[in-house]
Amino acid sequence: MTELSTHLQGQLVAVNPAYDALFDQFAAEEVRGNPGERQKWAVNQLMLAAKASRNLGLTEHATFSGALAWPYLYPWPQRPAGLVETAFDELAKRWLPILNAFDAAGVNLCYEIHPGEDLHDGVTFEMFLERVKNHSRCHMLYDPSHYVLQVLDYLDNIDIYHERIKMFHVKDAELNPTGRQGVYGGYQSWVDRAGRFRSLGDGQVDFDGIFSKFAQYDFEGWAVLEWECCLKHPEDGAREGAEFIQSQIIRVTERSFDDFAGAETDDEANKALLGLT
Amino acid sequence: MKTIKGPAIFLAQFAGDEAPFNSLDNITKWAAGLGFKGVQIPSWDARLFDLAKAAESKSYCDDVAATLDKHGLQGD
Repeated sequence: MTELSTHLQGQLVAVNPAYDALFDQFAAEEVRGNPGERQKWAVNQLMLAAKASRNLGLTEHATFSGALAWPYLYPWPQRPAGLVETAFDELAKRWLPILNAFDAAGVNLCYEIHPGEDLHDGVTFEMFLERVKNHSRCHMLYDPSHYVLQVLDYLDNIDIYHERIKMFHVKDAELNPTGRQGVYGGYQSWVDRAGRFRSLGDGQVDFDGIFSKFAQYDFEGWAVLEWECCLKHPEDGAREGAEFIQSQIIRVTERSFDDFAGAETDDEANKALLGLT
Repeated sequence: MKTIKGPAIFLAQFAGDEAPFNSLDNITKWAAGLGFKGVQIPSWDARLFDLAKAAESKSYCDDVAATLDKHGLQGD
Protein backbone atom coordinates (compact mmCIF):
# COMPACT_ATOMS: atom_id res chain seq x y z
CA MET A 1 0.00 0.00 0.00
CA THR A 2 1.32 3.44 -0.87
CA GLU A 3 -1.00 5.50 1.34
CA LEU A 4 -4.52 5.61 2.74
CA SER A 5 -6.85 8.42 1.66
CA THR A 6 -9.59 10.30 3.53
CA HIS A 7 -10.52 12.74 0.76
CA LEU A 8 -14.25 12.49 1.43
CA GLN A 9 -14.00 12.65 5.22
CA GLY A 10 -11.49 15.54 5.13
CA GLN A 11 -13.91 17.48 2.96
CA LEU A 12 -16.46 17.25 5.79
CA VAL A 13 -14.13 18.75 8.41
CA ALA A 14 -15.15 22.14 6.98
CA VAL A 15 -18.29 22.64 4.87
CA ASN A 16 -19.78 25.99 3.95
CA PRO A 17 -23.59 25.81 4.46
CA ALA A 18 -24.08 26.44 0.72
CA TYR A 19 -22.69 22.93 0.16
CA ASP A 20 -24.36 21.15 3.09
CA ALA A 21 -26.85 19.20 1.01
CA LEU A 22 -24.46 18.14 -1.74
CA PHE A 23 -21.64 17.00 0.56
CA ASP A 24 -23.99 15.21 2.96
CA GLN A 25 -23.78 12.02 0.91
CA PHE A 26 -20.07 11.72 1.79
CA ALA A 27 -20.96 11.09 5.43
CA ALA A 28 -22.10 8.00 7.32
CA GLU A 29 -25.87 7.68 7.22
CA GLU A 30 -26.36 8.31 10.93
CA VAL A 31 -24.91 11.84 10.78
CA ARG A 32 -26.46 13.03 7.52
CA GLY A 33 -28.61 16.14 7.81
CA ASN A 34 -26.80 17.18 10.98
CA PRO A 35 -23.78 19.34 10.07
CA GLY A 36 -22.48 19.51 13.65
CA GLU A 37 -22.48 15.76 14.18
CA ARG A 38 -21.19 15.24 10.65
CA GLN A 39 -18.17 17.40 11.38
CA LYS A 40 -17.43 15.47 14.59
CA TRP A 41 -17.73 12.22 12.65
CA ALA A 42 -15.31 13.54 9.99
CA VAL A 43 -12.72 14.59 12.59
CA ASN A 44 -12.97 11.16 14.21
CA GLN A 45 -12.47 9.51 10.82
CA LEU A 46 -9.23 11.45 10.44
CA MET A 47 -8.14 10.39 13.92
CA LEU A 48 -8.81 6.77 12.96
CA ALA A 49 -6.84 7.26 9.74
CA ALA A 50 -3.81 8.43 11.71
CA LYS A 51 -3.89 5.26 13.83
CA ALA A 52 -4.61 3.01 10.85
CA SER A 53 -1.73 4.52 8.88
CA ARG A 54 0.61 3.85 11.80
CA ASN A 55 -0.63 0.26 12.10
CA LEU A 56 -0.06 -0.22 8.38
CA GLY A 57 3.47 1.17 8.56
CA LEU A 58 2.62 4.09 6.26
CA THR A 59 4.40 7.45 6.38
CA GLU A 60 2.03 9.65 4.31
CA HIS A 61 -1.73 10.21 4.21
CA ALA A 62 -3.95 11.92 1.60
CA THR A 63 -6.91 14.18 2.36
CA PHE A 64 -8.83 17.35 1.45
CA SER A 65 -8.89 20.46 3.64
CA GLY A 66 -12.60 21.18 3.22
CA ALA A 67 -13.70 24.74 2.64
CA LEU A 68 -15.48 27.60 4.41
CA ALA A 69 -14.53 30.46 2.06
CA TRP A 70 -14.81 28.77 -1.37
CA PRO A 71 -18.24 30.27 -2.25
CA TYR A 72 -16.51 33.67 -1.99
CA LEU A 73 -13.67 32.78 -4.38
CA TYR A 74 -14.51 35.56 -6.81
CA PRO A 75 -14.38 39.03 -5.24
CA TRP A 76 -17.82 40.10 -6.43
CA PRO A 77 -19.68 41.21 -4.48
CA GLN A 78 -16.84 42.79 -2.57
CA ARG A 79 -15.67 40.49 0.18
CA PRO A 80 -16.23 41.93 3.65
CA ALA A 81 -12.96 42.78 5.40
CA GLY A 82 -11.74 39.87 7.51
CA LEU A 83 -13.97 37.21 5.92
CA VAL A 84 -11.11 35.17 4.45
CA GLU A 85 -8.94 35.59 7.55
CA THR A 86 -11.77 34.37 9.78
CA ALA A 87 -12.33 31.36 7.51
CA PHE A 88 -8.65 30.35 7.59
CA ASP A 89 -8.39 30.93 11.34
CA GLU A 90 -11.29 28.51 11.85
CA LEU A 91 -9.93 26.00 9.32
CA ALA A 92 -6.57 25.93 11.11
CA LYS A 93 -8.30 25.59 14.50
CA ARG A 94 -10.20 22.52 13.26
CA TRP A 95 -7.17 20.85 11.68
CA LEU A 96 -4.53 21.51 14.33
CA PRO A 97 -5.64 18.67 16.66
CA ILE A 98 -5.76 16.34 13.64
CA LEU A 99 -2.25 17.35 12.58
CA ASN A 100 -1.09 16.68 16.13
CA ALA A 101 -2.67 13.21 16.02
CA PHE A 102 -0.83 12.49 12.77
CA ASP A 103 2.38 13.70 14.38
CA ALA A 104 1.84 11.29 17.26
CA ALA A 105 1.38 8.52 14.68
CA GLY A 106 4.53 9.54 12.77
CA VAL A 107 2.59 10.22 9.56
CA ASN A 108 2.64 13.24 7.22
CA LEU A 109 -0.81 14.67 6.41
CA CYS A 110 -0.90 15.68 2.74
CA TYR A 111 -3.66 18.01 1.55
CA GLU A 112 -4.50 17.52 -2.10
CA ILE A 113 -4.41 21.06 -3.48
CA HIS A 114 -7.71 21.11 -5.31
CA PRO A 115 -10.48 23.45 -6.45
CA GLY A 116 -13.45 23.40 -4.11
CA GLU A 117 -11.06 23.29 -1.13
CA ASP A 118 -9.83 26.34 0.72
CA LEU A 119 -6.34 24.94 0.02
CA HIS A 120 -6.46 25.22 -3.77
CA ASP A 121 -3.13 26.84 -4.70
CA GLY A 122 0.25 27.73 -3.20
CA VAL A 123 -0.90 30.98 -1.63
CA THR A 124 -3.83 29.40 0.20
CA PHE A 125 -1.58 26.55 1.39
CA GLU A 126 0.79 29.16 2.84
CA MET A 127 -2.10 31.00 4.54
CA PHE A 128 -3.06 27.73 6.22
CA LEU A 129 0.50 26.66 7.02
CA GLU A 130 1.16 29.94 8.80
CA ARG A 131 -1.94 29.42 10.96
CA VAL A 132 -0.94 25.89 11.95
CA LYS A 133 2.46 27.36 12.92
CA ASN A 134 4.40 25.62 10.13
CA HIS A 135 3.30 22.26 11.51
CA SER A 136 5.88 19.62 10.68
CA ARG A 137 3.14 17.22 9.48
CA CYS A 138 1.35 19.70 7.18
CA HIS A 139 2.20 18.82 3.58
CA MET A 140 0.90 18.87 0.01
CA LEU A 141 -0.40 16.25 -2.37
CA TYR A 142 0.71 17.54 -5.79
CA ASP A 143 -1.67 16.93 -8.70
CA PRO A 144 -0.75 18.93 -11.82
CA SER A 145 -4.18 18.48 -13.41
CA HIS A 146 -5.68 20.93 -10.92
CA TYR A 147 -3.00 23.47 -11.75
CA VAL A 148 -3.37 23.24 -15.54
CA LEU A 149 -7.07 24.07 -15.21
CA GLN A 150 -6.34 27.25 -13.21
CA VAL A 151 -3.31 28.27 -15.36
CA LEU A 152 -0.88 27.94 -12.43
CA ASP A 153 2.80 27.29 -13.23
CA TYR A 154 2.97 23.69 -12.01
CA LEU A 155 6.73 23.29 -12.57
CA ASP A 156 7.57 26.46 -10.67
CA ASN A 157 5.25 25.13 -7.94
CA ILE A 158 7.63 22.20 -7.41
CA ASP A 159 10.63 24.56 -7.23
CA ILE A 160 8.84 26.58 -4.55
CA TYR A 161 7.20 23.83 -2.48
CA HIS A 162 9.26 20.66 -3.01
CA GLU A 163 10.09 20.43 0.68
CA ARG A 164 6.35 20.29 1.47
CA ILE A 165 5.28 18.00 -1.40
CA LYS A 166 5.13 14.45 -0.06
CA MET A 167 2.56 12.86 -2.38
CA PHE A 168 1.94 12.89 -6.13
CA HIS A 169 -1.15 12.09 -8.17
CA VAL A 170 -0.20 11.47 -11.78
CA LYS A 171 -3.20 12.89 -13.62
CA ASP A 172 -3.48 14.65 -16.97
CA ALA A 173 -5.66 17.56 -18.06
CA GLU A 174 -6.12 20.07 -20.84
CA LEU A 175 -7.31 23.65 -21.08
CA ASN A 176 -8.53 24.71 -24.50
CA PRO A 177 -9.99 28.21 -24.11
CA THR A 178 -12.09 29.59 -26.93
CA GLY A 179 -13.90 32.82 -27.67
CA ARG A 180 -16.89 31.34 -25.86
CA GLN A 181 -15.44 30.01 -22.57
CA GLY A 182 -12.29 29.71 -20.53
CA VAL A 183 -11.25 28.75 -17.00
CA TYR A 184 -14.80 29.02 -15.60
CA GLY A 185 -16.18 26.56 -18.13
CA GLY A 186 -19.51 28.21 -18.83
CA TYR A 187 -21.45 25.83 -16.48
CA GLN A 188 -20.86 23.10 -19.06
CA SER A 189 -20.45 19.35 -18.46
CA TRP A 190 -16.94 17.90 -18.21
CA VAL A 191 -16.94 16.92 -21.88
CA ASP A 192 -17.87 20.42 -23.01
CA ARG A 193 -15.68 22.43 -20.62
CA ALA A 194 -12.57 24.25 -21.93
CA GLY A 195 -10.73 22.69 -19.00
CA ARG A 196 -11.15 18.97 -18.51
CA PHE A 197 -9.37 15.94 -17.08
CA ARG A 198 -7.85 13.41 -19.45
CA SER A 199 -6.18 10.02 -19.30
CA LEU A 200 -2.38 10.00 -19.02
CA GLY A 201 -0.70 11.13 -22.21
CA ASP A 202 -3.90 12.54 -23.71
CA GLY A 203 -3.69 15.96 -22.04
CA GLN A 204 -1.26 18.86 -21.86
CA VAL A 205 0.71 18.18 -18.66
CA ASP A 206 4.49 18.21 -19.15
CA PHE A 207 5.27 15.01 -17.23
CA ASP A 208 8.88 14.96 -18.51
CA GLY A 209 9.34 18.24 -16.67
CA ILE A 210 7.58 17.04 -13.51
CA PHE A 211 9.44 13.74 -13.19
CA SER A 212 12.74 15.58 -13.80
CA LYS A 213 11.95 18.03 -11.00
CA PHE A 214 11.06 15.22 -8.60
CA ALA A 215 14.30 13.40 -9.43
CA GLN A 216 16.26 16.63 -8.94
CA TYR A 217 14.65 17.22 -5.53
CA ASP A 218 15.00 13.62 -4.25
CA PHE A 219 11.23 13.01 -4.04
CA GLU A 220 10.92 9.80 -2.02
CA GLY A 221 7.22 9.08 -2.54
CA TRP A 222 5.10 7.25 -5.06
CA ALA A 223 3.90 8.17 -8.54
CA VAL A 224 0.20 7.30 -8.12
CA LEU A 225 -2.10 7.24 -11.13
CA GLU A 226 -5.39 8.99 -10.48
CA TRP A 227 -7.69 8.22 -13.34
CA GLU A 228 -10.44 10.68 -14.18
CA CYS A 229 -11.20 11.12 -17.87
CA CYS A 230 -14.36 12.32 -19.54
CA LEU A 231 -13.74 10.30 -22.71
CA LYS A 232 -11.71 7.10 -22.30
CA HIS A 233 -12.79 3.81 -20.70
CA PRO A 234 -11.31 3.52 -17.17
CA GLU A 235 -9.76 0.10 -17.75
CA ASP A 236 -7.92 1.41 -20.81
CA GLY A 237 -6.88 4.46 -18.78
CA ALA A 238 -5.46 2.19 -16.05
CA ARG A 239 -3.62 -0.15 -18.43
CA GLU A 240 -2.12 2.69 -20.47
CA GLY A 241 -1.44 4.66 -17.28
CA ALA A 242 0.76 1.93 -15.79
CA GLU A 243 2.88 1.87 -18.94
CA PHE A 244 2.96 5.66 -19.12
CA ILE A 245 4.20 6.10 -15.55
CA GLN A 246 6.76 3.33 -15.93
CA SER A 247 8.14 5.11 -18.99
CA GLN A 248 8.33 8.42 -17.09
CA ILE A 249 10.13 7.14 -14.01
CA ILE A 250 13.71 8.34 -14.00
CA ARG A 251 16.09 5.81 -12.45
CA VAL A 252 18.50 8.33 -11.03
CA THR A 253 22.18 8.21 -11.83
CA GLU A 254 24.69 7.01 -9.25
CA ARG A 255 27.54 9.09 -10.62
CA SER A 256 28.26 12.27 -12.57
CA PHE A 257 28.09 11.92 -16.34
CA ASP A 258 31.53 13.48 -16.71
CA ASP A 259 33.29 11.27 -14.15
CA PHE A 260 35.04 9.48 -17.03
CA ALA A 261 37.01 12.65 -17.62
CA GLY A 262 37.44 13.50 -13.96
CA ALA A 263 40.73 14.14 -12.18
CA GLU A 264 41.89 13.34 -8.67
CA THR A 265 41.50 16.13 -6.15
CA ASP A 266 44.78 17.96 -5.79
CA ASP A 267 44.69 21.09 -3.63
CA GLU A 268 48.17 22.16 -4.69
CA ALA A 269 47.28 21.82 -8.37
CA ASN A 270 44.07 23.82 -7.79
CA LYS A 271 46.03 26.61 -6.16
CA ALA A 272 48.44 26.60 -9.08
CA LEU A 273 45.53 26.88 -11.53
CA LEU A 274 44.26 29.90 -9.60
CA GLY A 275 47.68 31.54 -9.34
CA LEU A 276 47.71 31.18 -5.58
CA THR A 277 51.08 29.47 -5.17
CA MET B 1 19.54 11.10 -5.53
CA LYS B 2 16.33 9.12 -5.15
CA THR B 3 14.29 7.22 -7.73
CA ILE B 4 10.54 7.88 -7.45
CA LYS B 5 8.48 4.80 -6.59
CA GLY B 6 5.80 3.45 -8.90
CA PRO B 7 3.73 2.98 -10.84
CA ALA B 8 0.89 2.92 -8.31
CA ILE B 9 -2.84 3.50 -8.67
CA PHE B 10 -5.50 5.24 -6.56
CA LEU B 11 -8.40 2.79 -6.30
CA ALA B 12 -11.18 5.31 -5.53
CA GLN B 13 -12.36 5.60 -9.14
CA PHE B 14 -12.20 1.85 -9.76
CA ALA B 15 -13.90 0.23 -6.76
CA GLY B 16 -17.31 -1.14 -7.70
CA ASP B 17 -19.86 -3.88 -7.12
CA GLU B 18 -18.69 -6.13 -9.95
CA ALA B 19 -15.61 -8.36 -9.97
CA PRO B 20 -12.71 -7.70 -10.08
CA PHE B 21 -13.43 -4.30 -8.52
CA ASN B 22 -15.51 -5.52 -5.56
CA SER B 23 -12.93 -6.68 -3.01
CA LEU B 24 -9.40 -5.87 -1.96
CA ASP B 25 -8.19 -9.29 -3.06
CA ASN B 26 -9.75 -9.03 -6.52
CA ILE B 27 -8.88 -5.43 -7.26
CA THR B 28 -5.26 -5.73 -6.14
CA LYS B 29 -4.84 -8.82 -8.31
CA TRP B 30 -6.23 -6.80 -11.24
CA ALA B 31 -3.94 -3.83 -10.53
CA ALA B 32 -0.85 -6.01 -10.17
CA GLY B 33 -1.71 -7.67 -13.49
CA LEU B 34 -1.52 -4.28 -15.20
CA GLY B 35 1.98 -3.68 -13.87
CA PHE B 36 1.20 -1.52 -10.84
CA LYS B 37 3.51 -1.96 -7.87
CA GLY B 38 1.42 -0.18 -5.25
CA VAL B 39 -2.16 0.85 -4.49
CA GLN B 40 -3.54 3.90 -2.71
CA ILE B 41 -6.69 2.92 -0.84
CA PRO B 42 -9.79 5.07 -0.26
CA SER B 43 -10.53 4.53 3.44
CA TRP B 44 -14.28 5.20 3.02
CA ASP B 45 -14.96 2.32 0.65
CA ALA B 46 -16.15 -0.64 2.77
CA ARG B 47 -15.84 -2.96 -0.22
CA LEU B 48 -12.07 -2.62 0.05
CA PHE B 49 -11.18 -1.51 3.55
CA ASP B 50 -12.44 -1.15 7.15
CA LEU B 51 -10.95 2.03 8.62
CA ALA B 52 -12.20 1.55 12.17
CA LYS B 53 -10.86 -2.00 12.27
CA ALA B 54 -7.49 -0.91 10.86
CA ALA B 55 -7.20 1.75 13.58
CA GLU B 56 -7.61 -0.80 16.38
CA SER B 57 -6.33 -4.10 14.97
CA LYS B 58 -2.75 -4.69 13.94
CA SER B 59 -3.68 -8.19 12.83
CA TYR B 60 -6.27 -6.79 10.38
CA CYS B 61 -3.55 -4.49 9.00
CA ASP B 62 -1.22 -7.47 8.69
CA ASP B 63 -3.95 -9.30 6.73
CA VAL B 64 -4.33 -6.31 4.38
CA ALA B 65 -0.58 -6.19 3.81
CA ALA B 66 -0.54 -9.96 3.20
CA THR B 67 -3.28 -9.62 0.56
CA LEU B 68 -1.24 -6.99 -1.29
CA ASP B 69 1.95 -8.96 -0.86
CA LYS B 70 0.31 -12.07 -2.31
CA HIS B 71 -0.19 -10.21 -5.59
CA GLY B 72 3.30 -8.72 -5.61
CA LEU B 73 2.24 -5.25 -4.48
CA GLN B 74 4.19 -3.46 -1.81
CA GLY B 75 2.55 -4.30 1.53
CA ASP B 76 3.49 -1.14 3.37
